[in-house]
Amino acid sequence: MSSRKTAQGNWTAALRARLEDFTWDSLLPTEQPIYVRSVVYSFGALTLGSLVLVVASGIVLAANGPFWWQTPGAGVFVRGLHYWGVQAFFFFMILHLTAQFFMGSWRLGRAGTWVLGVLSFAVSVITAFTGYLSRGDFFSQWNQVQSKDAFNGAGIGGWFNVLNNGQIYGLHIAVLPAVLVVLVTLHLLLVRRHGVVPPYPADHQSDGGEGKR
Amino acid sequence: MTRYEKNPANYPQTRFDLVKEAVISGGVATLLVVAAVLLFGVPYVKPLTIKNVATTQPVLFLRTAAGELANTSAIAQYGPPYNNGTGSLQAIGAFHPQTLLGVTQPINPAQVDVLKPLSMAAPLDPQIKAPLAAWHAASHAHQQAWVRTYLGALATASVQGSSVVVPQAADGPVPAMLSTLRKLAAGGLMSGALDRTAAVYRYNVAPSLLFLQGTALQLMAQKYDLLGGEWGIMHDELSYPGPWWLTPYTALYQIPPYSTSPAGDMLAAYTMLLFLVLLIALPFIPGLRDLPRRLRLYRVVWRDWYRDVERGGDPHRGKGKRDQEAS
Ligand code: HEM
Repeated sequence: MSSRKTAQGNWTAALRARLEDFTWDSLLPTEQPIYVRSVVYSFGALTLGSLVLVVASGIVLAANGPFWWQTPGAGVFVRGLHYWGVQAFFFFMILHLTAQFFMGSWRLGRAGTWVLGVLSFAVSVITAFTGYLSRGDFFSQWNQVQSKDAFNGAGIGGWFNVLNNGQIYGLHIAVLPAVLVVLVTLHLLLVRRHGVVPPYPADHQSDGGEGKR
Repeated sequence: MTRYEKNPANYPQTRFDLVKEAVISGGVATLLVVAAVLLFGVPYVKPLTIKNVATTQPVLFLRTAAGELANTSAIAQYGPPYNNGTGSLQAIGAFHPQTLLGVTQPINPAQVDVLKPLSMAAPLDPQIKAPLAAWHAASHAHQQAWVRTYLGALATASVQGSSVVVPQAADGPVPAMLSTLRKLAAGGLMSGALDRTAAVYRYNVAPSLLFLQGTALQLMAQKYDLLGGEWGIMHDELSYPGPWWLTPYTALYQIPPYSTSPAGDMLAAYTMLLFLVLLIALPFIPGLRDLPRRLRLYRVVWRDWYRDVERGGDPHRGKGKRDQEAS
């Protein structure tokens, strides 16, 4: 107990100090280093934009219920927004991931940003999959009976019952999106905290090694 | 040789408007998505119902029900989480995580799929009481023999109008039971009877889906090229992009040992977990983390920057704003 409660403060003080790193200027920057000059820097924002659209259309779907979105009319249109929003989300996320890989964006202390990104990707896949199971048409049925063998074989089917629409729908509309939003928020906070990763050293620049990784 | 600068704040800065950036990317994403909905619509294929199978594929319905009644179907033999069978138990040697959580969703197909619905139908159709009583009175061996004989007779059955004519055979009460079950299904009452639970809010469709999964869903999936060997669920949905982001996973099912091993699902799941761990750990894996530097594709992203730096001069002449304020 004692050694932690030093003059530097306890964990709440440490957390406060960390949070104080974030000012409005660092969260909403008004300038960027000049190397930030490429369309690939938009991929993250486009991923986020699609995610917002997916969440918004998902809220409308959830508010009106399964019968509504399977009945021709407004429900099917909003389901379309949700469906194509997800396609756009994954499209931009994979472009984003690929670009960040080729830029080695985990360098110079940014590994955490990368890790949170990959976790967001993994949670997105599971979220989207539970969405396919919740649509309520033949594809949902087929994916349910097909994927049960995979989840059972992997050892989690005993808890994660893809044939239980209540559990899967709850995971899809509440639990998994909440986890995803937390991950993405932390991802973005880390991006702002470290600033955009500088380019690899030019061929004639010395860097003491670290910048290369 | 110039020094390499690691702090973004020490690079020359340009003006940047995050709000504009957000509005533009949100707008672009929305426009693309709305255009896609208007142009392509959205996939939907009517779900398969037990009623539909009972009326359009009556012989298939009867064969499925007979298999469930004898508890010889795939689900009856499956293993955890439905029962203690081994038919679909995936294992590599002594490693079988499938047994870890045990039988958490017990299902007895004979009970759930045939006997319970028939006893529920008995008040409407009292004639079913005698065959049901005969079934319950018979020994297990006798029941199995009846079903085997019935399945043999069903092979030469003919469909006449809405009824199925099964040749006479020594199959005891089975024909009477299953034809009543088919009437129940054709009337649209069977899935409700199957998915009935003690709780009145009913979300678990395992019983009705497991009844359909054997052959009826397979046949329908075949029509849409959705079988595992055909890239399964991500193949496509009609002409729509399916879950294409599962490609690395579904690709595994196209190659051995995943495509051939009875534990293929388990192998694929753990292979994907390994890929995920590798991707997470990428920044820490020597060799892999240096890949982008060697590939030099980053020079395309930052081509303007390298052009300026390599043209000579110190790129850091204008120090960052934050840095100036601090000093
Ligand atoms: C829900 C999904 C995601 C969202 C909404 C998202 C959003 C963003 C945004 C807005 C940025 C800053 C702008 C940019 O560089 O594009 C960013 C940066 C970054 N993202 Fe993501 N991202 C997601 C998933 C991922 C994934 C899957 C990865 C990689 C595995 C990843 C890795 C990174 C890295 C390393 C950076 C930092 C770049 C730097 O410091 O220069 N992100 N992300």
